[in-house]
Amino acid sequence: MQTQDEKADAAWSEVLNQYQRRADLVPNLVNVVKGYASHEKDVLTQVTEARAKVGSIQMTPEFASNAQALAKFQSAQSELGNALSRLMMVTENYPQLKADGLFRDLQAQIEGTENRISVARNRYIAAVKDYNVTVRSFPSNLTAKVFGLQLRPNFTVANEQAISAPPAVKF
Amino acid sequence: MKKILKALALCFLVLVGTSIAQAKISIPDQLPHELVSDYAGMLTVGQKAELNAKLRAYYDKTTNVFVVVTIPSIEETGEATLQDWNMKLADTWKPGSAEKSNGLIMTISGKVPPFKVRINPGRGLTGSLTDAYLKRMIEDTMKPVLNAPTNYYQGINVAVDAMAAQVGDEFTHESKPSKSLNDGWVLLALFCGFWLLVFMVLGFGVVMSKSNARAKPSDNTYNRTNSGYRGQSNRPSKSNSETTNYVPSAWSSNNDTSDSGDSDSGSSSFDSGGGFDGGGAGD
Repeated sequence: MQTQDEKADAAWSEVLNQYQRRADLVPNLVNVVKGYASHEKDVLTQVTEARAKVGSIQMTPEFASNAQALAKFQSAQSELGNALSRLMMVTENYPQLKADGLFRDLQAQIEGTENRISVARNRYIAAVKDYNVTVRSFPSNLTAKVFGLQLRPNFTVANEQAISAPPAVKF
Repeated sequence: MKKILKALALCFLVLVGTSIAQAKISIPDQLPHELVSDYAGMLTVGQKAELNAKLRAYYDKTTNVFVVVTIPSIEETGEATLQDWNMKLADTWKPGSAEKSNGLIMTISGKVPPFKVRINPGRGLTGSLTDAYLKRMIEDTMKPVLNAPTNYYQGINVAVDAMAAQVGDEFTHESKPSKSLNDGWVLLALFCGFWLLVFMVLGFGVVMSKSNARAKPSDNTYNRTNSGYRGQSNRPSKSNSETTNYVPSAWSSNNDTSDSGDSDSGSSSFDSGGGFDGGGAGD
């Protein structure tokens, strides 16, 4: 059970790592887009604000064991994810921007990071599931009580689906 | 009786028929010995052999494991996207060593142009083969060649060369055991040579001072040789092993002198995919 807990911890830090990687890419992306599409103020502001919100959440290891904090963290990250996809949708209207080398690189990096986030989350969910199953099943739940090991909250996938549906773009 | 047989035969045919219609590409459980898996049937025998030899030589030189897979279409794999397919390969085959995570999976999908490509590098290679670089390489270098008529094989070659050049010698000779000692005769000669040295030094020591009990340097050399020899003997021979040599995580725990006990749990990191974090670029 301890190893599973460790595994879940490691998976968690990987998730944090990848989310951080995405957050780090955002300022560069915003700057490049501004250079070509400066009047898309709404979308750009949204992204910047979402990123600031994500940056303000202190991400400590204890975070993962607090269900409320985890939910808050998750919703902040989804907000950033949504703002980013809106931004990328808007850039479709700017062929010059799309052809820009730096933008292409950033776009590839963002896509890659989103993939990594997805994989990291899946691995974390699996790791937490394993751990929780062990903590709940007999006889290891007795050992868990002795050591004070508790159930870990997990990413709520159902929520994710509702939140991640991209909004309709109105022209 | 005949009717029953006929009915059975019909059932059998139907079963076989449907299973063929929904044929999913089944992949071996371990990284195949040949690094090129041509499920799309787009490469000739000669091309496949040539590419295999090239990738193998690359592995010998750098210990990086580039895996090339071709599929006729993503639907036939049973996966939703090329990314899912590549990650499935990565999780099943785990190319690259556990310590260095220097594997790479390249999948080309399609039977006619325009082809789709996806490249997923392991963590160790993703530093030099960044997502941005791979996307650029695929779009600017690989696809123009790949999508030109009858240049499929060349397209793959161009990509492999570009990536090899980009990675450079990041992992060459790093923790790879010396290959020259693989030969049994050389080993024997060295072994005898060291014994000779031992006797020579012993004799010299005896001659030089009869009363001084000097620490024999020969003891140290003996131990060094011994551990080195032990390490080599556990290494499966390259030419006739059934399972591949390209799964170093399986046997590196044998010849690793550090003797750590956590080799079967996928090393100390949690990732089970041999260091594939899901990054990469492509379609």
